[in-house]
Amino acid sequence: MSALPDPIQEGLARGWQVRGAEHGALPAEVTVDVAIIGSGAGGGITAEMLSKAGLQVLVIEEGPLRSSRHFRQREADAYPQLYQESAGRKTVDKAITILQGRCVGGSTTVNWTSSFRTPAATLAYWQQHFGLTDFGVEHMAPWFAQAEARLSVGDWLTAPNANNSVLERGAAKLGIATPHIRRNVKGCWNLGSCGMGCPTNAKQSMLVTTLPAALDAGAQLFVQTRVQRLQHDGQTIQALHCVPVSLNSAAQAGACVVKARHVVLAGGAINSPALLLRSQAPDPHGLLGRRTFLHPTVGTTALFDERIEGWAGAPQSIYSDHYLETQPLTGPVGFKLEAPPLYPVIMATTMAGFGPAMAERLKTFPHTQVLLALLRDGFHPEAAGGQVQLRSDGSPVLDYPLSAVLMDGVRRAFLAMAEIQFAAGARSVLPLHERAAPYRSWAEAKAAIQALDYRPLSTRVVSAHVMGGCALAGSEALGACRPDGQHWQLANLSVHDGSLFPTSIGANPQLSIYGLVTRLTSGLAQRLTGRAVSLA
Amino acid sequence: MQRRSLLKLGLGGAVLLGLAGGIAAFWSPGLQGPKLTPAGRQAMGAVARAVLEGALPADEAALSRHLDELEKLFAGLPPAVQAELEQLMGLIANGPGRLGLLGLAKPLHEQPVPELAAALQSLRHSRLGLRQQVYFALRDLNCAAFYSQPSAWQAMGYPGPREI
Repeated sequence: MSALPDPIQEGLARGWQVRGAEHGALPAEVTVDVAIIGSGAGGGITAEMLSKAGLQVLVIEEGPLRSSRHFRQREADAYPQLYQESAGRKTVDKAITILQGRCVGGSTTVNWTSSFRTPAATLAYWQQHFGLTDFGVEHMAPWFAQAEARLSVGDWLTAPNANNSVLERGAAKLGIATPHIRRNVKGCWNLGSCGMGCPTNAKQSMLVTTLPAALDAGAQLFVQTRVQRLQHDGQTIQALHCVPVSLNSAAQAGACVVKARHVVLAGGAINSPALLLRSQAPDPHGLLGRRTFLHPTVGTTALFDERIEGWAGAPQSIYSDHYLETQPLTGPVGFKLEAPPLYPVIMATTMAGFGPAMAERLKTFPHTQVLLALLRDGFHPEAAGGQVQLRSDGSPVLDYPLSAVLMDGVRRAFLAMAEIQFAAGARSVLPLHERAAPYRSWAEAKAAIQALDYRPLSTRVVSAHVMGGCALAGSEALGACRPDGQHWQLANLSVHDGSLFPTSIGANPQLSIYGLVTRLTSGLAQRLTGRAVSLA
Repeated sequence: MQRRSLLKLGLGGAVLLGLAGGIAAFWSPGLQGPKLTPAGRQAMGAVARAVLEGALPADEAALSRHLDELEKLFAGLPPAVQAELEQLMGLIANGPGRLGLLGLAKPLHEQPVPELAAALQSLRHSRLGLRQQVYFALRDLNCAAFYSQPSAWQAMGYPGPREI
């Protein structure tokens, strides 16, 4: 347990209005001005701004309230408490593992702090193809600036850890640019445990910024509470039907009905469309839960003579957009290169093989380096994303086909990463593929990677970025939501999360959500109260 | 060969496995809620011996601790995923499922580790998605439960988190 001061425990002691689980039973019925479903990047920003506007706000979160005193930097603690499906959420065919937060603060509590504004090429594509005419770089810049100021997004001046240095060093040898990643941290200890909840409260997640501000302003928070259904008449929402849930998301007794003048849906790009599907929300153009994007992510491991210790230090500090910028947006799928933090469970579950071969390979863990390639889906017509479906118990599952076009991207990404790792001095390189072997030279790797059979499951694919499914668009035939975030059919519903994106972002999406939601909430506050509010 | 002929069934094989799963779960469940039944414990214990060969200590106490960790992991999974696992544990703990899936006639805990490893390899590289899914579930669950424990860290040179 962290011995440092815990702002959440202090807030609770000050009398924050929190219900659910150990914080007390839910009321049978409650009425507020605005109900916000989800407490991640979108819900957090919305909660602070609407509370500031003087509205009575209730935030409803499916996961538990955990804070620095609980963050022990251990995967066995963090995954079941802080992640959807214990960090093991899978697509229908089990070929992609999805890392998504499920706790107060959502994915911002467990992300790796990488902060990028939405790339200019992505915004231009939305302007051109989704009728989002005033979503250019210059229109969005002031909103990103507000979010950056509020969340302490800044340059990271500490030297990159060894895992990230390999990307910088290898790329430099090949003439490939590797800028530094900006991070939303304040007084970061450079521990490297971001993915298990920041134990020092340095990460400026929703958990320690906007949500405390909203709670101090009188907002209410229900934790371990799931909205099962939105009750509506096709035009407006009358009530939210909620149930308490246990830590594994199983429904419990003690239902609660929430009535609100306005509802903001911010459950993330799988759970938000799923709630609308469960509620049979109007969907005249069959768009709901479709075009759901993942930045399908693949990796190559490399063995170095020197120690890498990928668990230590800021997890992501170096990136390259070389393979996004050197090919057309709608052509062969491009990819962003980054490095991930390395922990025992992530490492052991992601690598190929089992038995003595795996045990031997894991002995080289301290010398193992990993690069990631995030594929930019949603632009090529044959990389049009997946579809959110409902299981028989109403829980969501994503069907995401890994098309040949994406698998071609995987092959090119393996080649690019292996070349960089060898250029940085790797002794051997092993792509995360069931048929791959450790390759001793770039020439050997190049030939072997070209020849691998790229199929789902045989190729390890993960995602930490779920986007789309309730897209913003200038016309109702192109997306579920208007450019101001309001649902096209349900007048008192807004969507404020990553499901608004009409394509993938092409960069880690947290700042894209913060900036966009700051803009949308400013407009919503104006519509609901006639008052202007800003985030910073 | 029994295994070959089942493999050749392709999609039909998937249906058959599903059916076998249903029957098997009816006959003798391998998992009840998040808890392994005695049959489930024997079967999953045998799988763990093969997946974690070279890492999991040979003594019974270590295996028992590992299976306890697996149950903790199962308990954290949502009901829909637990239901899938119940089916999977039913399959490996019962004759028809075991034969259809792994091509092994004898109960898994009576199989030598090399036989089990060969059966897992065949699942791993199968062209049938369902069989590969079974491999990854068995492998990844065992790896996640085992490597989340500090007792596994020393062998891989991981010092554990920096205490603050």
